[in-house]
Amino acid sequence: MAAVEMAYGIRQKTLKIASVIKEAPTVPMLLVLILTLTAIFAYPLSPHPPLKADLDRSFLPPVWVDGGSSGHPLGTDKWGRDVLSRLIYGARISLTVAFLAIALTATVGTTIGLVSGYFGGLVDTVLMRLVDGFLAFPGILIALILAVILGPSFTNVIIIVLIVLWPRFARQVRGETLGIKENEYVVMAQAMGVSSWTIIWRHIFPNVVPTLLVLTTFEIGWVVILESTLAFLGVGIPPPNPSWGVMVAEGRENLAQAWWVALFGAIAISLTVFAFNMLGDWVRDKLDPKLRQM
Amino acid sequence: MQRYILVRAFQALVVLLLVSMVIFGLSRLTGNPVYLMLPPEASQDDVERLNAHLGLDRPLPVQYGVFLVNALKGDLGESIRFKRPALQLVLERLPATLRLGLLGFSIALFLAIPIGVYSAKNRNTVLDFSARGFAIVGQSMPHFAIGIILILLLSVWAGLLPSSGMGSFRYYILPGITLGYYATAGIMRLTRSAMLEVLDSEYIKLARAKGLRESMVLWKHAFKNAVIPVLTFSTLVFVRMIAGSMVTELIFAWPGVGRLAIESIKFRDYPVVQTVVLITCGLFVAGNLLTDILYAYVNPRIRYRK
Amino acid sequence: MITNKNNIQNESLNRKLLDVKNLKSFFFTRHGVVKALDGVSFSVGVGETLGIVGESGSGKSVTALSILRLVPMPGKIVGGEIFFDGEDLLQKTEANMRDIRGGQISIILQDPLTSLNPAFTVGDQIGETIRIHQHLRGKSVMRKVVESLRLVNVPEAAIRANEYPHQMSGGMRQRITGAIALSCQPKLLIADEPTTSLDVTIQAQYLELLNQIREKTGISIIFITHDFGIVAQMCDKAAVMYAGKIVEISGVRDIFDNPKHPYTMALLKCLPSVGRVEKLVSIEGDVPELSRLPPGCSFAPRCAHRMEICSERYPDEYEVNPEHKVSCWLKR
Repeated sequence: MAAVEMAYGIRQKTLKIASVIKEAPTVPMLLVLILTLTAIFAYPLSPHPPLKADLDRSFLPPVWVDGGSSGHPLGTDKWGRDVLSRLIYGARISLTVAFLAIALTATVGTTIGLVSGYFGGLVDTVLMRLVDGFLAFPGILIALILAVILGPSFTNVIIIVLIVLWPRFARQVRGETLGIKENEYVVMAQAMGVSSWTIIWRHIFPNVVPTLLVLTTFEIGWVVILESTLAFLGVGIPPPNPSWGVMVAEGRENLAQAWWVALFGAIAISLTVFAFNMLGDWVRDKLDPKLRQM
Repeated sequence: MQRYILVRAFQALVVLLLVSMVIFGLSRLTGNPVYLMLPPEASQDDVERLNAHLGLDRPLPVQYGVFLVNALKGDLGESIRFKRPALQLVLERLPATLRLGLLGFSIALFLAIPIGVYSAKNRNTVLDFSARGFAIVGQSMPHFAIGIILILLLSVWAGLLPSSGMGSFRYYILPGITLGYYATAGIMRLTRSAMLEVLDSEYIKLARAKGLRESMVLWKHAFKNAVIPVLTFSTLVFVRMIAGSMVTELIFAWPGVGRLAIESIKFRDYPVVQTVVLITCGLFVAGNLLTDILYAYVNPRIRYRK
Repeated sequence: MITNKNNIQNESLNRKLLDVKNLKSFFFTRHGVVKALDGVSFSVGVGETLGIVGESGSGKSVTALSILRLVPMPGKIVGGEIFFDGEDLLQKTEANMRDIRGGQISIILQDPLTSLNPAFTVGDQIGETIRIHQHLRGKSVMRKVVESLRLVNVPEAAIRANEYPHQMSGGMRQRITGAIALSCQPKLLIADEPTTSLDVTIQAQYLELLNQIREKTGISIIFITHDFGIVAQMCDKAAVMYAGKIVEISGVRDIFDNPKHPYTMALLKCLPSVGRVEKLVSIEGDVPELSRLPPGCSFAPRCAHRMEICSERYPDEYEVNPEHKVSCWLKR
């Protein structure tokens, strides 16, 4: 009987998730799904290895232009590498960085926010001053400076995102915590002698989750922009990795003759961010229209 | 309000000081620049002599003190690449950047605010949807993406506008749009949402009930209240543009501070990088202070604190 | 001293200043058509005070907005006539209406804090009305502003005029909205629940103030409220509204002495009386959704006296006396 109940429970949950997903705006949702699938199944999807150079076939235009070949539907770059394949792997890079970075930042930021909000006092004051200090500066500026110091690499990009973004999470979560802390069930738990950490984990955190979701979807787009900008400037994910930013940078060198390399990279970035932003908007509207002021 | 301004000004100074410390610390973190300046065959003796000459063997706080004093005198080091005072290099290029920034910002304000206001007034019409569409698309594109696409469309393919360098007004157009797009989108959306909120208020209803013309209700009553958050946001946006200008200047080969910064980063020209960062942060802090003052002036609740 | 040019007390009070005939205002929403006002008729004489009573959602505020033709989207006035001073307001151009708003008909809204623009001084906001309607400039505007403030008993008027709304108390702010409304000596004042958000003591002061102004200037007032006590204090006539229609209208004494409509009776029963210990009475059921009204009388589902015909046809109106009209099948 237990197995049947469990199966039923899972079915219910799946149905609920499915109905929520159905409500989402179609185009962005589809785009995000396609992007995620592309990122995961990059290997079988790309017609060519993204790093394979073939100097005989450099600067091939997309298939619909004179001189293009169906073997390389979106053309090739300076070193004869297939643009489509590089785009596909670029999706994997951008999305991986974005998800990892956000997951890490969310964890750190939320923890700090929860602690700061719940325990208050000196810890709270110090942490919030720190947050204010960070938030006072434009993220891109800090990111650039850090990128210069740390050098171009995958890990460094994630670290940079963490350093720049954690304050935003921390402050939002702290605010929420302050509000939730006032609720009676929290006071009750405290009166019953429940330990602080348990209270935070079981009572406060679940209520912070909606805000977290909103923030996350909101910021993914920003992280993608940051990553691609750093890559473009040469201080992010280093070539020959096919980060879209790198593609645009490389394509720029021969923009007039081989417009396709840079253009498709730019479009890929824009579409991705657009899809995530729209999704984020929808999530935000659904979960809490009050947060619209962000 | 005087007290408010004084407190804010003091805070700004403190921040500036902290920033200078951080910058100083970071630049020392990246290793001894002495090794960059000397040829590889230099002997340990040479290294030590240069160290002493540059004062790099003194304790860190002392070095910072020296740094600070020099900075206040206007001496921010010498560019390794150009062998000229870093500050001078930066100041030479600042006008170009500021001109571009001002253009981008003006485009943003003059376009975004009216569109935002009328978008709110005519909610859910074609105008509203297309304006919001443009805004969302614009905010989804990094500066370099907009720049590349604009260059392709208007310069490479249509051949209408130049794609690099600074010159007559035509040279300003593409970089100006590229720089200003993001700001325009942001300001437009904020104006729209601020106006929507205000237009729902009771006093707007009452203003109409007083017999005012709709345009007066819109601009004199609604906008005056909605503009407060927009104003503060705009000043922030202007300062953030400084960051965006780096990428834009690079793409359009604009002879400004941003491009200088990027190149200096590539060439490890630390004094210049340091100077640029310091000046940028300084402008940023000043910008924030101005925003605070402006906000206090415009919001009667702060202006007339009993 | 402000003398009202309409101080025609010797003129017959039979002359109707405002005559609303069969007014219909509908809201066209995604969920259906909301019939906020479905054939509302009443009149207000010169110097008369009419009270419009009802629960939330009965259509009281829409009536006020409709008279001024300020019904917000997606609402529209779809039928009827509004005769003001002999002319149908629904036929007037927007420009004419703007002259009338604030100049001949003014309104006071419920929440004094949100009624005032936080960005302007109180004097500015009063002065604005004076500027548009009386075409004055400079010092004369200031003089009239101070006059208006004195009319509503604001002490130290000249100083107050330069203050901002957030610097004042709730009661003071509501006087300011009163000053704005009265600054151009309108003939008709519509007060939409002006005392609901005020403390009880301030409430009493405010009503007393309105009484004084009424005596001084002979202005006509439409008082929208849910409080029968206020009706008893302030009004000459009372109209009871339910679900977008007036179910009973009469002189104020008759409403209390001889209510005919079950809804009116139920409302009056709900008033707790001081000095007696009794159970609090409430009316069973809920106000119906205005987009899905039942056929026949809208109150029938909640009516203790309902008959079969009540759910079939909307009651015809009958006269108890020339002043007192009721829409109910129950004739007693």
